[in-house]
Amino acid sequence: MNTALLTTLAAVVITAGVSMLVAGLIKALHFITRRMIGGHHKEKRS
Amino acid sequence: MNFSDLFGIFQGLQTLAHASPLIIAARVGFMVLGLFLVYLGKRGILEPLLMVPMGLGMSAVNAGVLVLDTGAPGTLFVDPLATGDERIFALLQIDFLQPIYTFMFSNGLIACFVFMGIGVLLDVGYVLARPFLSMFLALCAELGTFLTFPVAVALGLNFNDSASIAMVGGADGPMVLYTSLMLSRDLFVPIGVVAYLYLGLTYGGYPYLIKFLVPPKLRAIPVVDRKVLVVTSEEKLAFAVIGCTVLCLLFPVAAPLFFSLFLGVAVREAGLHYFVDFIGGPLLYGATLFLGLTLGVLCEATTILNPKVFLLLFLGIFALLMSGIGGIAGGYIVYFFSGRKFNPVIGIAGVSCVPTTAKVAQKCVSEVAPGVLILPHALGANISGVITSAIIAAIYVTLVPLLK
Repeated sequence: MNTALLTTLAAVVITAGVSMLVAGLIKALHFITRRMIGGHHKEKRS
Repeated sequence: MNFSDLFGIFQGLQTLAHASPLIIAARVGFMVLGLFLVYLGKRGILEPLLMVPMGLGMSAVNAGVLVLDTGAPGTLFVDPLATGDERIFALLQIDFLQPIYTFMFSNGLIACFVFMGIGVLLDVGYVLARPFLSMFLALCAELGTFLTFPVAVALGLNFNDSASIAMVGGADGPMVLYTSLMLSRDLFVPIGVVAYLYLGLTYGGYPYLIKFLVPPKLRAIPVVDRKVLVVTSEEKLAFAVIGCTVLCLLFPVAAPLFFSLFLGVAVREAGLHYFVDFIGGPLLYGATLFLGLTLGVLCEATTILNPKVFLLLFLGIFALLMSGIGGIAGGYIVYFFSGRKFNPVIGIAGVSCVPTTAKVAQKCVSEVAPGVLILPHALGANISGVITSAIIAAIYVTLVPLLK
């Protein structure tokens, strides 16, 4: 049972870490494309 | 010739009469259940694309049991329990769905085809517009996937079976199939059937959960973005390519799933219309047809009758319920941190049943506030849910076999 709980904890931590890594990657892509390609991105106020 | 020889002409009836009472009850029960699933599919209560072929397959396979050359009862549909190259090669020439099962189902190819189709239908722009928010909600909506694993172990399942049934909490059919094929080959038929039956129920059950947990006043909160980012197709394509490469690098075990999903996204964003038409049409619907059909014919009484089935039924509903509660809890967390300007219903869309849960969330909001649009946020959480489910599947498939 302890093994199961530890595995769950590890799964939560790794999933959270990788998910945030993916989100960070997306933000980085935004930044890079805005700087390198440019011209395509607009920010609107809704 | 006597009467029993004449009775032998109708082998379905003969094998039914000679079976044990438990098998008789199970076969008749599955025949009726199959017809009921077709009815529920036709009425739109469950997903008709899956339920009609699945229900018909379930009824037909339990009716069509005959006495084989070996003298044992069996069918001419498929034998999922066959082992050994010689036996499987022989069955490929006898059972008409054995080629589909052996070459497409048991290696996860059919799940990957469905994933490619989902990828083509996804607009990742919703995630790219609000990546951290979407990922956070998706993470909260995996509560059932996380909690079910230790609960299943506590109830007596082994680690592999526990991880497989826990994936039902992700509400992603192909993911459950893939994980159970990798981890628990003995139970993947009942787990797959339980998963797809319950996924059909999210459309009917989650609205009650939303109404129970979120009062109408909060359901009516409009979501206002301070900034709306316009995401170009180049950016979406770059995300698909880099995201796929990074995730495959981190979790090679689930690389086929990541590759299939992001291939669909890449094909869509690259503007390859012929591929989009093929993957989003014939491939997706063909795979869905054979997925439903194969799941149905796998529900043959002697294959699926397992003492663990009732436990799986309980754990499956527990996983989905916890994920729904987790998603709404995530919505409440964002609601409080945003100064009460966020609609907590969006959280349930983190359960990755694309696009069902996003549509359910929008429907529940529209009932109390017809002008409020939460669908873009909900779809962002929904698509992120697919990614987090794939990550958890990869973690379980990698980590669980190491446990002793």
